[in-house]
Amino acid sequence: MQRDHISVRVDGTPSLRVISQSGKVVVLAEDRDDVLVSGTRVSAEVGADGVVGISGSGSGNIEVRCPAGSCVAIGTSSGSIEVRGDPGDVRATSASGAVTVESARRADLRSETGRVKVGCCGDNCRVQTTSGSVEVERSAATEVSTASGAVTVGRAEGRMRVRTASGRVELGGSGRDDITVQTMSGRVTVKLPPETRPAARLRSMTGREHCELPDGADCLVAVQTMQGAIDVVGME
Amino acid sequence: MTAAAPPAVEVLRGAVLFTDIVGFTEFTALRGDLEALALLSRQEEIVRASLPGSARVVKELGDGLLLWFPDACAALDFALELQDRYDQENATDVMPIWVRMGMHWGTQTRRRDDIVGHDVNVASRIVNHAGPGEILLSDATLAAIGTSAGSYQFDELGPVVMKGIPAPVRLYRATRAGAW
Repeated sequence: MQRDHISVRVDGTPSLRVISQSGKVVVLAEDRDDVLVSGTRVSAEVGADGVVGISGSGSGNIEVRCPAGSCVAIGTSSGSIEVRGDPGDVRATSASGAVTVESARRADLRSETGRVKVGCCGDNCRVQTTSGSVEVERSAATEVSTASGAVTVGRAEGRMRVRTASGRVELGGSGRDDITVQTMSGRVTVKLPPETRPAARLRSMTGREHCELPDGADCLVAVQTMQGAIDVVGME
Repeated sequence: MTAAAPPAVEVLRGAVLFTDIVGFTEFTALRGDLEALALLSRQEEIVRASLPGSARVVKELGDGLLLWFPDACAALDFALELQDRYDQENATDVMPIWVRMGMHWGTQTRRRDDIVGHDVNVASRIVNHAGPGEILLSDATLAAIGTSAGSYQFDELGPVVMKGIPAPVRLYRATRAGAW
């Protein structure tokens, strides 16, 4: 099938709105001054609001190359979403596809059943899934909610709030910012720098509540669970 | 022979709000049926206490509700107040309960005590994209809120492709102004 290549001229750092049904969407933010869209049966044009609207039909994949710093909003039904390079704000929603973002300034990422993975988010990072797992390597303020997926945040330099019905939760905090976790069932482990003296408020109805760090007021660690052990430990 | 006159169709214009308790299945498994029933009764009490007179509970959907409001601002105020009430409940219980909500403004066709139509279907899809404790609404709802929008904070999620809905819908996350 013929593959189209559409180049859209833009001034400065554009905002993009990408829509796909079941095809994969790949966005690469790089050092360039146009928006290049590749795929089968794709369209791209600048709307009245100045946003570059890009859409593909059916199951064809879409590849978008845009200037670094571009703000990107992507919606797919079942296609996966991949954002690479150096974009600005990234917002992405997929019903069942996986969402992978290498880096973003701010992020709001959602998938009902797909996995969500974030490399680095410089500002607020919000992730929501129904059953997909969530993995954030590095972020600032972070908010994650899932119904049943596991949640892992490597290191957040900002406050964290996690809500999950069931699923293991493993968080790395800064030691300065508050952490709130609410879960129904699933083990919760919070890792903090070893010198941290947290105010730990741990409540589990049936599991162990353990904080190996001395009590203090560096940050609040509030964990609330019905079933599952809670551990607050020092990072190695 | 004279054909029977078609039944009169009543078309409404308003905001449709779907609510859904996240983790209700887990709650029931961990706490048992009686506590689950008590939770639903508590939800009903909270909703009835906060519901404006012009709005109504159209029907219960298991652990969720379908509500109708003639005014978009009243619908959003109600949704925010309901989330506040649930946050208060969570502060006193080890078992967190979260409600997620989806709202859409449009036209609905009345069928006895029920409402049906495309805009009802859109609202039912929107709630699927909300996380625990979140209120999501469509761009049509935001337009209906109009000049009062400054009282709230809206974060755009972007275009959302929903099952069975032909065109993507732009969704927004609604919170009180200044909220995280």
